[in-house]
Amino acid sequence: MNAEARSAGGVIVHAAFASERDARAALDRLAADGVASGDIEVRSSIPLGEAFFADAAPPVSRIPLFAVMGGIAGGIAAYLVATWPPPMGLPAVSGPPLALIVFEGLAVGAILVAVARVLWECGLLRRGPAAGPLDANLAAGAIVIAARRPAGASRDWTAGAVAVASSS
Amino acid sequence: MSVDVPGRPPTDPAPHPLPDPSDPGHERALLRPLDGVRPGLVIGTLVSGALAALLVVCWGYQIRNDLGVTGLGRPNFWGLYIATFVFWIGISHAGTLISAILRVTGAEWRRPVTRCAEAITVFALCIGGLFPIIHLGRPWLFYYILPLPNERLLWPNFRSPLVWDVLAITTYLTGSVLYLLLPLIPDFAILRDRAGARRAGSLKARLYGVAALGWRGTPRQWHALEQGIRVMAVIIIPVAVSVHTAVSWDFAMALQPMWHSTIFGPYFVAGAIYSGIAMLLVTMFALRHGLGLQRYLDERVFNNLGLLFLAMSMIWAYFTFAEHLTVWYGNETAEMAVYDARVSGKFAPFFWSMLVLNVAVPLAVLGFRRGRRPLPAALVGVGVIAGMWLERFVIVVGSLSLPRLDYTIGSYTPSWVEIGVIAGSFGLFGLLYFLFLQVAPIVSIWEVREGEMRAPLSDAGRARPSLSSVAEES
Repeated sequence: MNAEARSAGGVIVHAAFASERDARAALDRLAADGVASGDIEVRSSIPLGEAFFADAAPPVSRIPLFAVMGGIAGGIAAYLVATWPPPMGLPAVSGPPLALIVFEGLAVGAILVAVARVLWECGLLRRGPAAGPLDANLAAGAIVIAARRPAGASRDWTAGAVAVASSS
Repeated sequence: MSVDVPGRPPTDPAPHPLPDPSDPGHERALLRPLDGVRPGLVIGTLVSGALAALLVVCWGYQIRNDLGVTGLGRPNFWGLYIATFVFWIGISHAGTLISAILRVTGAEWRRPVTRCAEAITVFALCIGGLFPIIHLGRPWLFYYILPLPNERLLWPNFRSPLVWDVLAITTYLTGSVLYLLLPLIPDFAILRDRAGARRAGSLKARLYGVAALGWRGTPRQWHALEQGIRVMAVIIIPVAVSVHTAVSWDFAMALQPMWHSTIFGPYFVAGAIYSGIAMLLVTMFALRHGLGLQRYLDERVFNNLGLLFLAMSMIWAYFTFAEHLTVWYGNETAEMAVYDARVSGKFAPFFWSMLVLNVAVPLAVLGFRRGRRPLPAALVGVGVIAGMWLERFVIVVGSLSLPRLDYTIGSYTPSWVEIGVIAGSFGLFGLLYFLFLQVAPIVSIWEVREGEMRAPLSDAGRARPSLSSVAEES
């Protein structure tokens, strides 16, 4: 559920499902009712299988690309650190040690940038939405689906849920 | 996340009913150390803390009275401190290497093991990195080795293996800490939600909330996290190899008999993995029985690790034989002096004990399936830990004790300060581990859950038990 849907008001119905099958069926019912995907949020305590989102566009992650870029930056930084200050007519570092130093710089650059990108793509370290009413079920292993629906709309999609709650 | 118009029906054949949120069921064993004050863990923490205090006391005494209180001196300017430094860096190869390699190869049985192993890595690295600073004698001068611009225009000598050590260990420590913390985020979120459900706004919920960094468990977050963990696993493997190779080059780059050998790089890496698996087996056995984790750290995990352990024993034995055969065949005077001291001289008891503990016992025990059960595997692990420490002692002290210049007289006897520091380092490791057990689940909850949900049918066509049925049995 995107930030706009969250701030748009109305009732948000949360339902916890014990299995991927039940959760998938609920999503199917929501889609059949015409609920926009931006008004739905799925949360789970484990990564859901690819089959769960068979028809959804796979999320795009640029973590490997950023890791490579970070590695290049780290390697260049390591080279500069090892060869600074400017040599007095002689090389400051010989070839083989420089290779090792650049390798370590490459590795630490890739690691730091990859982790930073993970935090960015996950949206962590930012002010986010408050805890949901079914977080205890989530912690126990349920799949929690939250859907924003107009007031008075039916809750048929919550059939099969182990717990249902509402929030505004 | 966006969910498009539904298409194919779900594929799992039967629902997996989940336990009641108020009843953790089979996961109770994982969560018990984190709930309240456990007497066993408190006692373990206090005992380890007392031993760790010995390190502080002995090190403090050494700082106050200088390095002369140790046995170090001509010709043994390197002694137990450096041997133990290499030992702890070797132990650190348990986690990240095993966890990373098993993750990259998709070995499902790794799931309960990875966090135990990653924690060993981080704590062993911290302790191992402490020893060069202890060995400095004046630890406040440690910053000289860092590339910090200064008015004297001093810069680290990047041609020195000691500087390579600093770079490699720093990189490995950074990577290992992040590799431990990344998969912890979803588990911290689980603990946050549990604590919040018990008492909204409690201190525990808020602390775990901070640690969880705002994790919600959306598919986008899971995808990014899994990508990140996969990338980290791939990067950390060559880093781990480079670390102990760089440590081995502290010796191999010196023109010292039985040090200056091209085989030291892979020899040390193999020895590091070997000692790391040993520490992991011992730790797993202690966790299995101390925390009641038999369901997770089961005999299958011990058997698989035991096979890996056996393979590393043979690889280590091969490298040891190759190194000693080369020296013996070359028959160079200075090297044969060290060789003879090891094989039949004053270091012979240490050398032969090392071979018995590292080769004979593991081959005899782990070669049989019964020997790869938890207790025998752990006992062999204890022996290998001792044997691998002896290996480092024989390499470091054994070679330096036989100087090549006639006027260089002296002998090395470790003092109580060195022995206290080394014993204290084991206490510090225990202390860090006991503290970690009480703040984070030692078995990754989400990874084990994921493994159970995705478990295929066994060969006999029997499905793995559902979570609820296991909860009833336990």
